[in-house]
Amino acid sequence: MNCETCHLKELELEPTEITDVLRCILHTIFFHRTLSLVRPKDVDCDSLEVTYVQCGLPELEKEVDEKIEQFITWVEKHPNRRSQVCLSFFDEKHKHPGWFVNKTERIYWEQWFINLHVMGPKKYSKSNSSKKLTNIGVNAETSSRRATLESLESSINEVLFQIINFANEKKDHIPSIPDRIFNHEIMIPSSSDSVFGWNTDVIRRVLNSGHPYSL
Amino acid sequence: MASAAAGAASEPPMVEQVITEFFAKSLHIILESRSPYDSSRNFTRPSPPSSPLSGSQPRDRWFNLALRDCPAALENFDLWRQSNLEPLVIDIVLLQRDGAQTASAGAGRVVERWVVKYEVTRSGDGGRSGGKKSRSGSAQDHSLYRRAYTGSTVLLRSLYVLVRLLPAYRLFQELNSSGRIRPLSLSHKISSFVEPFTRAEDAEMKHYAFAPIETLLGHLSLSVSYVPVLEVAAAPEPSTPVGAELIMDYVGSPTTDFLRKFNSLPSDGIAPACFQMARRHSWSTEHGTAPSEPHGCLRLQPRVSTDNSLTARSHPHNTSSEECYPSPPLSPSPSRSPYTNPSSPYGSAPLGIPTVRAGGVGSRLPPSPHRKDKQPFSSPNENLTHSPIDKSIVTKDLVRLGDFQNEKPLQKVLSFGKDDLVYFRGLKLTRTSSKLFIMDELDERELVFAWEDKDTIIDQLNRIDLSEREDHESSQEVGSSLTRSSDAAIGILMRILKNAPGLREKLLTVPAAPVPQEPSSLRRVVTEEHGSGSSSSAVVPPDLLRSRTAADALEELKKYKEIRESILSRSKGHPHNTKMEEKPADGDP
Repeated sequence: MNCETCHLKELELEPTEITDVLRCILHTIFFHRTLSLVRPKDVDCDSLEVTYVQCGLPELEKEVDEKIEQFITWVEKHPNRRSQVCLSFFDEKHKHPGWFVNKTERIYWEQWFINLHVMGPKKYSKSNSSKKLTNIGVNAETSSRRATLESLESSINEVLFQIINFANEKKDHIPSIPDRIFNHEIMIPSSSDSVFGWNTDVIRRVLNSGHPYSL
Repeated sequence: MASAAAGAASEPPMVEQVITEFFAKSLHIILESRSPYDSSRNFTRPSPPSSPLSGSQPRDRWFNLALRDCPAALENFDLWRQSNLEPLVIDIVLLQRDGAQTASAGAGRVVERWVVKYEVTRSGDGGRSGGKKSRSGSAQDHSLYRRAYTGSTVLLRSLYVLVRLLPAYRLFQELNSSGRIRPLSLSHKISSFVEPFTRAEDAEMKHYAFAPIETLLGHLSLSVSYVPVLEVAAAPEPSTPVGAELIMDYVGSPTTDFLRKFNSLPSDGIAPACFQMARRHSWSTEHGTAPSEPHGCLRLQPRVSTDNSLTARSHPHNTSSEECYPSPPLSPSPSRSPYTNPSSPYGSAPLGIPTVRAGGVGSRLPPSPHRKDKQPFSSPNENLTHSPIDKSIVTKDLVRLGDFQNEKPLQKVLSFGKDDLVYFRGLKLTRTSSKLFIMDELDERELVFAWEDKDTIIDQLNRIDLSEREDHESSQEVGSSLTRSSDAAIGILMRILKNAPGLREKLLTVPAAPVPQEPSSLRRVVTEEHGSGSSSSAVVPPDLLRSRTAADALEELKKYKEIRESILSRSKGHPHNTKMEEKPADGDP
């Protein structure tokens, strides 16, 4: 089975916007790939004028939030770095039982790479002020901040359109619809990783036996 | 149409059903987020979170997407199901209900056009599909069905997300969430044919098409043309929210039906040009007069709405209203409110003028809805809001109404009003502000009685005022009399002293009676004066007494001297002479 991959456009954002952005993107992907019965739930971002849709699965929301918190912790330790969050969907295949191997194998059929460039607030404001030296004062900062937010909102819209396009163009590889959410994994950089730290995590990932989201 | 019929004839029933449901679901998703209806953010159908299936309806099972009930969509869906697989065209229309847009209100402006259609392709129409069928049989069909169904499921999810990304969704949210009546509204039009846009419209729109879903004989497609930037929605939003709703309330409110109330006025002349202007403004949306009217109207509303809310004062730009109510407070009349904004020229503009003219404050004329108008709807804020300006208007109008001297009722109103106005000012400052505030808190039903009570209160207060004025005047009189005739007062004191008990006790009983025991010396003086004027008979005896005692004293003194001398002389030689001389002395007085 081919593993389709989608690399989403990189988003520049501040640490305070990580939660909104990641929630929006992750839940939009989940919504497109949760083909079991869902009751959509509209959610407005806290700091952005963007509305996204959740599947209405509390456990999934909890999982997403936990991963985002971990990612924020990582960002605090590694400021001003490009990073990637990967959402993978996989199937599990039972292997023949052996002495030294696991009984199940993950077969990834789709991966979404969310590219983020989280900039520290200080440097962020510096770069802004250097761009607009003529604008001095609070109003200038506010308008600059507003412009930055609008730019981010526009970028997020692009990313969401990208998700929509990809989700509809690449769908033949989707396994048959289960009665629950597809097996998935959200990978974030870890401290021992290089720039795209989740790679190590992929290597040493522990096979799980699926997720408890059953209907 | 023919192709659809051919497709319907050729597609397996399962796929046909998927297509039909796809149309219905698409319509439902679109209208759910465009038609003014609760969106799924308020989705509250009871179901355990762990089991989305519970409480789901059969329709929810299609594409595993449980949507909120949407009557408009379902109604149209039922209509749609009776027809064949024609294209489904959903136009989202932006309507503007402003007076200026009455001409175009019927048409509106299409801001989104969704087109869902099923097209039969040649490849599927010929013998290939038949060959497929014949070769692979039902397994192949099942595979195609599964693919079509999965594709539809994904596409409908994408549709669900997309309708929330487009600009019209923001407008929908605004219109749906605030609960306010706005001049903008979203409507939809469903048809089975594509009405072409004009070239300008088409150039303005953006287009997006989902990847089509392949079916056995054709494909399902869904596309949207949308206006990328809704200037219409963006521009009026900040200025509209207050206005439209208040217009409706204002016009519909019986309390603001000035004409009806003015029918009972003694004369039409009471309603001057200013009143007419106010009416013209307030009804401008219905008349749809000038292109600029909506703004004027919206700006007018705050004037009206200040009766209800302070927020409505946020548009103080109406020059016409300033013409109408140019009066800054004519007098710094005492304000009932610390919250009043004197800079606002229209605190209570339309209400204040006619009502005050109608009845004045203390008038008992039938058209006296002034307080009737104000009281029932007067939250404390309302009174607080427009009272001072209202008063200024009252003053001004009364002054202006003074010109209409040909009409006696008007003069009556005027005279009443002036008195009451002055009276109320004094009232507020001094004595009975509490009573006024109590009346302000009465509701409409109590108002009729309150009105009467108010009149009686006013009368009583007037009487108090008059009596006090009289007191004041009388005290002034007294004071002036005191200052004017202090000598007289001294004389009076002298008289009192002279009226003091005399040497002869038998005469004291008569003058002692008229001397009153007044609490205050002033009153005593006054009554003394009155007494001196009115009871002359009582005054005479003291005069007699006074003349007697004076003469007697001297005479007695003389007599005592004579007696003394006679005694002295008698002691010298003739004691009986003194008795002889004493007799004539007794008979002398």
